[in-house]
Amino acid sequence: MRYYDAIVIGAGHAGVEAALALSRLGNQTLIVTLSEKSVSHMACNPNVGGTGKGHLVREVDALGGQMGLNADSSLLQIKMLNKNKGAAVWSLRGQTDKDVYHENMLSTLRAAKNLEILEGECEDILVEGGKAVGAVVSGEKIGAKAVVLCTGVYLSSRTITGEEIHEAGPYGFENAKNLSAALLEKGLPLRRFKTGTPARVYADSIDYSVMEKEDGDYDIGCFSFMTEGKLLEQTPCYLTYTNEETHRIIRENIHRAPLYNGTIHGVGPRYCPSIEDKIMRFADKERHQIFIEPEVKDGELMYVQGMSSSLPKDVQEKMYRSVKGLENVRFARYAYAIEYDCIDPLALSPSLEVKAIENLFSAGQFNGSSGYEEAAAQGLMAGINAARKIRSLPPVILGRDEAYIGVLIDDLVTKGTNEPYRMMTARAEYRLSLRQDNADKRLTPLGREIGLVSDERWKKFCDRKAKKEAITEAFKEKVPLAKVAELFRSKGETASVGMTIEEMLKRSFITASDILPFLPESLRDPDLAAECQIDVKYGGYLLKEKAHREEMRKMEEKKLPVDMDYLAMQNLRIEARQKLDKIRPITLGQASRISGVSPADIAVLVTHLVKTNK
Amino acid sequence: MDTIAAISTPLGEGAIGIVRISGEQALRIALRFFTSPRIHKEEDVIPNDLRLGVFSDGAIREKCMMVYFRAPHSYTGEDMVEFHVHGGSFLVSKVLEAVLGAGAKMASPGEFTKRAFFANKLTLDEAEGVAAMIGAESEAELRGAYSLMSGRFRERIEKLSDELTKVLSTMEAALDYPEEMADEADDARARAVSVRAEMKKLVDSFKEGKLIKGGVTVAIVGKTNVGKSSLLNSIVGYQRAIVTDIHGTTRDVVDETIVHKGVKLRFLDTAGLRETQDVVENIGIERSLSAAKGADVVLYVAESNAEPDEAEFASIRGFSKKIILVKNKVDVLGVSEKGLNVSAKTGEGVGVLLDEIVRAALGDFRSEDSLLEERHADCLRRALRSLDEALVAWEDNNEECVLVDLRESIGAISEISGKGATERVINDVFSRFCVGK
Repeated sequence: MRYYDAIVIGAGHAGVEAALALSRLGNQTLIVTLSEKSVSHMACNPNVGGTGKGHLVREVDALGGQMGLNADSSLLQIKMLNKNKGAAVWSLRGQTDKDVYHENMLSTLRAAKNLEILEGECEDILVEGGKAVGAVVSGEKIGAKAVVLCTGVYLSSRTITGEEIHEAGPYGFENAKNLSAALLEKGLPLRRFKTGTPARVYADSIDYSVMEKEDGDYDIGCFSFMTEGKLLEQTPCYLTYTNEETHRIIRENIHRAPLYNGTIHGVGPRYCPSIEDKIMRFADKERHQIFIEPEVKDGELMYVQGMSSSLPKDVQEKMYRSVKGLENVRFARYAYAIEYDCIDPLALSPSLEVKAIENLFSAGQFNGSSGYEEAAAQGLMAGINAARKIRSLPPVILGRDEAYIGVLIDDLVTKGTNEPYRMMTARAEYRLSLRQDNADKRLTPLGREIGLVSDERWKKFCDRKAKKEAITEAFKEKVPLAKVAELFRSKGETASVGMTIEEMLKRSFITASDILPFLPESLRDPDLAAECQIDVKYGGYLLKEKAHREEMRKMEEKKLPVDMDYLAMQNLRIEARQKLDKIRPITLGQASRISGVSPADIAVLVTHLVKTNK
Repeated sequence: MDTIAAISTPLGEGAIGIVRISGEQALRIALRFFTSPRIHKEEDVIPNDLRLGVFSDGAIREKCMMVYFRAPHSYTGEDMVEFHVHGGSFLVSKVLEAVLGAGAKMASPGEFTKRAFFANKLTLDEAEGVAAMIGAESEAELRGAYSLMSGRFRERIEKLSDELTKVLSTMEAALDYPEEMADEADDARARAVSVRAEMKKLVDSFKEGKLIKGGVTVAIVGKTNVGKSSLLNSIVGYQRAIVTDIHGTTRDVVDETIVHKGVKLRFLDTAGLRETQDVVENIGIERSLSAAKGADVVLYVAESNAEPDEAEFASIRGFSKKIILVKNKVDVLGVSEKGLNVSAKTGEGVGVLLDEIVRAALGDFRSEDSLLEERHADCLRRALRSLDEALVAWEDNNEECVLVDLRESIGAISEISGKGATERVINDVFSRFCVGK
């Protein structure tokens, strides 16, 4: 029998991060995939990032993960969303070349030390004495100290287009047929989720001249803190709309929609509705946006964002062709819905270890999330924590006040989810502090401690940090009245006293570029100065967040013993007893976020802790 | 951490009521109201020393005891101050209100104990003792707080938080789905402004709510020998105050409480107003005026055949909006066209007067519409403050800061209703807007 330190099941966006983290931390790692062709395959939209998700990519990068670098190596266009709003809600989104994205990640895996790729189907997890000790891949038993499940949407999946149903994974790939049953047998709570994707159509069958051209931003950086420079050559996307005719076709054929006639049982995400869902639920809306996005650079296929559907092919043809610019569109692949098995994430601890089976970790869509970025973030953390478990080190658990990754994982394992979970900035309580620009400041020191931050990245980080600190220090320099007045006058404002740069920046009409001339010459870096001024502009509001964070921290510092007998605690309400027993929170803070646990229950826990600590 | 305060004795009548403050600002806040001959600044306060002094804030001026426990030698491990004041829910809640107005936050159920826990102050014995207590008390309080609220008030609170959730979800949707939401009309600010107006109304209604809980204070003032004490006696139904024909018989304030139409009315009979050389009487007159200042309703009594003293009437009007002109002795002197005619002697018109007092104090106020609990009032006041801050941030177009304040505001309201904000907002985003790829 072969032995490895760790086996990662699946080589999608979660699996590759987990495997790279494990191998980079010195573990002999095996990554199992049904086919090398599906490594980091972008099965749905051809982009990385977006609101909230862009934050995740930057955080993965800051910790030493791969997604940001890989996205940068395949960028076709980059955009800063919410640029017209404050810096805290800016989010990067990049269009990527799907083929290049896949190829570059595959090369990275192949070049990685301590990492081996195996094509095959994982059929079972080997468990001894409540601990995972390996996996069965295409009939072969392979031993390991830890196993990470990153099965994506492949578990007993089936794709649905109208009456046509295939037992298959996404994009016509094979699915995993046996693992679900094996996991159920081991008592893991599996359930069925659903998601979908729109059609891929031929680029030369689209009339772009009647659509609105959507360009990228040329004045912004890329995802990774390691990537220098800006993306100078970009490929446009196009915007068009559905119309009354499109809606009529859908309404007339709604009885043939699997979502509406009962063929689909899986729970689909509200934020990723199919077009038939949008029409039925929002009948008043006159039109819906459709974005045409390139799948690869100068390639033959385009992705039709906004037209996800599981209607039959003939209906799809009619409704797509009713859209302006798509009158003569030809289909390469039809839209489909996909159903798959995943785990109830309440069965996981915050380290992403399965509570019932030690040394078994999981990440990505298997955990009930959706999206490449959510998957990568969990994959990285599962990989890190599997590696630490192997070395008997305590797990790394990011707080809700430290990273979007912390919010993502805490939400999943504490609140659970009834639909594929998508990251949103609205879920982050400390949004003003958790910005994409400061992801490195928040996480790179931790990444260094964990061992994933290379010397090169560390040096770059330290340089950047020193420079930003110097700029922030220089903000305290006083500028004489004459110069302040001159600047203010150019903005149609007046000044009557000299003031520091910081005081000037607090005025809403003063921007970072305005104060650049007042900085010492060596510090006149417009990008860094712009980042430094963010903390000044948010000043008072950052203090508000800090006060809330400190209160939360106190609750997070109080640990709850794993073996607490909640069911026997008479003072807890029954609902609280059951929820606490099921979720087994590791801190008082986590307990307080469980729905159905009241402040009174927390008070009971508090006094119980005091008793048992004595 | 915030400085918190709460009433630590049971609500209702009692000999003593205790208001407890805990946190860094405890002593600073306490000394804004408390004066004592030997205490002029914070350093003068001796820890663990129960000290007699005066608590004064606007209308109230009460003798009370204050004790200061210096951190870490206190129950919570923080700086703590306790005021021991005369019992009676009205007075105790006035003191609490003053303290909250000075920046303390209303303590949530079990919060003192929670702080004690975090400061490692609770010992085993104490913990066992409070475990059951907190379990019982705060659970009742938490469940009770919401169920106690009668229908209409609950509806109003829910409407406020629903509306605010809509404001928030519109803005959150625009942040998380900037492209899809470009098509949606944005009425968030207009909605927020109307929520603010409604919230303000509710907060203001606490004035009346407190009158229902704590009682309405009615001062009886007027010239000497117009029959103020007779009126009091007539109202309470026995010879409570000494009545003579001698001008200036009543020297001190006489205090008596009755219940009329379910509302507690506390009458203060005062020394008659006149120019006098009598030192004692002059002190009494001063007290009359200060009683009138602190009262919710003032009865200005005159004889039915006389016009009220313009100067006196104007000066009372200067500090009280609710004055009833009472014309007494109609049985002897005849009916007057101005004012409310009564006869303290025969009891004629007294019932009408009592009705009029309730109407003046409460208007067409209905208890089921309004804020009655101090804890609810505190939550709403904080919600209002945050909403105001949001509107300021809106002026500067700092949308993400507006959201911080709106979340705080919803958070404060949800402390009443017990429903978390984040999940509601996210649910609302998806039910109201067509967003997502």
